[in-house]
Amino acid sequence: MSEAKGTFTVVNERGMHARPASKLVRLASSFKSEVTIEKDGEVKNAKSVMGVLLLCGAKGTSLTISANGEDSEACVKAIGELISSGFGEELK
Amino acid sequence: MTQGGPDDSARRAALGEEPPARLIGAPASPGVVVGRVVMLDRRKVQVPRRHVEDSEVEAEVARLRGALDAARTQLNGIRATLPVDAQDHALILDAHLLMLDDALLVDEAEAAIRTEKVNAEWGLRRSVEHIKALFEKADDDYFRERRSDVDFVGERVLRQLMGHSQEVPKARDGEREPTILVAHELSPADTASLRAKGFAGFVTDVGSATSHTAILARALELPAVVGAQGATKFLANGDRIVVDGLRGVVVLRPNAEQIIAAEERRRRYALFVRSLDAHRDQPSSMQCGTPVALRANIELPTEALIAREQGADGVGLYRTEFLYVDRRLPPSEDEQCEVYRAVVTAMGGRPVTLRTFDIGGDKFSTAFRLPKEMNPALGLRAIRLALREREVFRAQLRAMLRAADAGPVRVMIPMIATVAELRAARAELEAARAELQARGIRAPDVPLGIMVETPSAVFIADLLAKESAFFSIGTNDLVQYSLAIDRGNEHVAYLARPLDPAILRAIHTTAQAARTAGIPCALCGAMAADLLSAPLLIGLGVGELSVDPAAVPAVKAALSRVSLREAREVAARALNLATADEVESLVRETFAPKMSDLLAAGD
Repeated sequence: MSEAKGTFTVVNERGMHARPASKLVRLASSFKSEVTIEKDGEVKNAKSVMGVLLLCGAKGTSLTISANGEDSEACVKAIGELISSGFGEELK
Repeated sequence: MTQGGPDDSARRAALGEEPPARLIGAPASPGVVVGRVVMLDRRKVQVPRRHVEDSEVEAEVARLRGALDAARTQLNGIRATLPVDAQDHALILDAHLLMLDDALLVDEAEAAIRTEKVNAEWGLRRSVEHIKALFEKADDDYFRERRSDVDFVGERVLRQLMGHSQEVPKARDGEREPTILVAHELSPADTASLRAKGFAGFVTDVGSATSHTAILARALELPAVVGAQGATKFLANGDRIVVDGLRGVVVLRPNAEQIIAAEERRRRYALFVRSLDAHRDQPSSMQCGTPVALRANIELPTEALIAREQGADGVGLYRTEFLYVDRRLPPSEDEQCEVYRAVVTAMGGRPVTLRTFDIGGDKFSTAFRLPKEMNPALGLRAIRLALREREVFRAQLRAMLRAADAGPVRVMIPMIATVAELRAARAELEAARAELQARGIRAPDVPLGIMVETPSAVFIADLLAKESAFFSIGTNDLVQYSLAIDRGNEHVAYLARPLDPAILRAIHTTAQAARTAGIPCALCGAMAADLLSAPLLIGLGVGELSVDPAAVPAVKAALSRVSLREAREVAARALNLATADEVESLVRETFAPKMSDLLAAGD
């Protein structure tokens, strides 16, 4: 078991709305590790779309991804890239 | 599903509820169909609470999981039936699918079943209510409104658990007659599935012609009447009805004569649609080849797709009021930007005219605390309200400027009565642009134009034309204000005639002023969709018409039957006539013979 952690900023204009949240949850669910997502001390299961939506991640929000499991490093890296790339949405 | 029959009719008659001969609703989607009714019964589910024994707990959990699986299969199926044009709806369905697997929903429901020893329905309800309460606390409108998605998903699973049929049934098998669905209400997803299920039309108790459901019905070319109050009360399975989606009428138990008449209308409409289809992709022009921009008036983003399908050359009027209605706070800049951008993108490079909010008057919004007014049509509305609520106005202008990166956008200000108002609006637009630039957003230069809909704007059209990028004449309000007629007053409403000589002169004056200043002059009132008036307007000097998407093909056909020269000759004669009746006779005599087929189809 290994732990990994990373902090990333939401850069896309509309924030982590339904479509990006769905993408993030689907990506997180593809890893074996347990993954959490944290905003201002509030921690949610990153494999729960409702949990992720409840964080109300607007543009500029700082999110900490923590993974625990055999593929934790790859998991945090992949999710970090998704967030930092603006979820493939418009940045501006 | 409810079973109807002779007993039912007898019972209704005994109760003094004899069904009416016809129901009047809104014409949601054109076309006529005669067929047999299939009822969809979908009342709000009552959730039972039941204690379960220890030995039953695991079976109850299994029942919940089974219902989640079934709901997942259903949602996947719905997504697959959505037409390509409606794929945008599928994005929210993706989130709904993930919610069905969500530990937050599932774990809490299972925990409730296990620890409180309650049935699966109650456990699920507990979980749904809890999550909704969490979303309720969100600061942001967008995230707060996700509670309706939680509800949507919860309701679907609940119906599975309780054995209620959630899905629209299939049309009757082996039936030689077309089948018509009758429901209290239909969601867009329900509507999307109707064609595949063999339905030839539908009727609902509630709804409006601008709802997403109506828009999808038009896209699917399913005749529909919505808002036909009493439909589910007076109709039963197997009843024969006529759905007249052209007039918004449902005929109950039609006699032989009414059926023959309806079949004739159906046939004529089908022929008419086929003849228009041939011209759909051609640009609009007069008979002589002179081009006339023919655009669409729309309100909902999905209507943009319909407008394009109908062959509209852009959007001549995008009404933004719906964004402000039924909410406590005005929409955010981001929310608006997303909507505007969707419309601009959908139009694929054709120009889109975004009108800033025209609230007040008859369009009330709870997002503003509007004072009660004795005379709202002459009160704090449109640009007047915008200049009082500057923050809200500027947020809208910023959203419009940002949307301009997706395609050509024009910004239009409603109810301009003075040059000072136009200048104030321009200053706000510039301020909005500066604010965006300060945020590092490049805001393109967009044309700023005005609605000409007050008599004062007509009187000073020459002055306004010098400072405006375009005009769009709004005949609905112009008629009301020029003739001093309250459109909502039944005693005088019949006097509000767009063909009144005063209105023709106002249009002519405005178009001349635009011409002198070298700016385009459009017209976006209901008058533009009147087939006999459309060529007259071009003759008066109007260069662009904007009409409801459904009217685009017919107006296009009407314009193609008249040359510019002839339109101008008729307009010159009309300007010298004394009454609306005389003008109407003139256009009827000269234009009607050229478009008898088009006029007959709309009757």
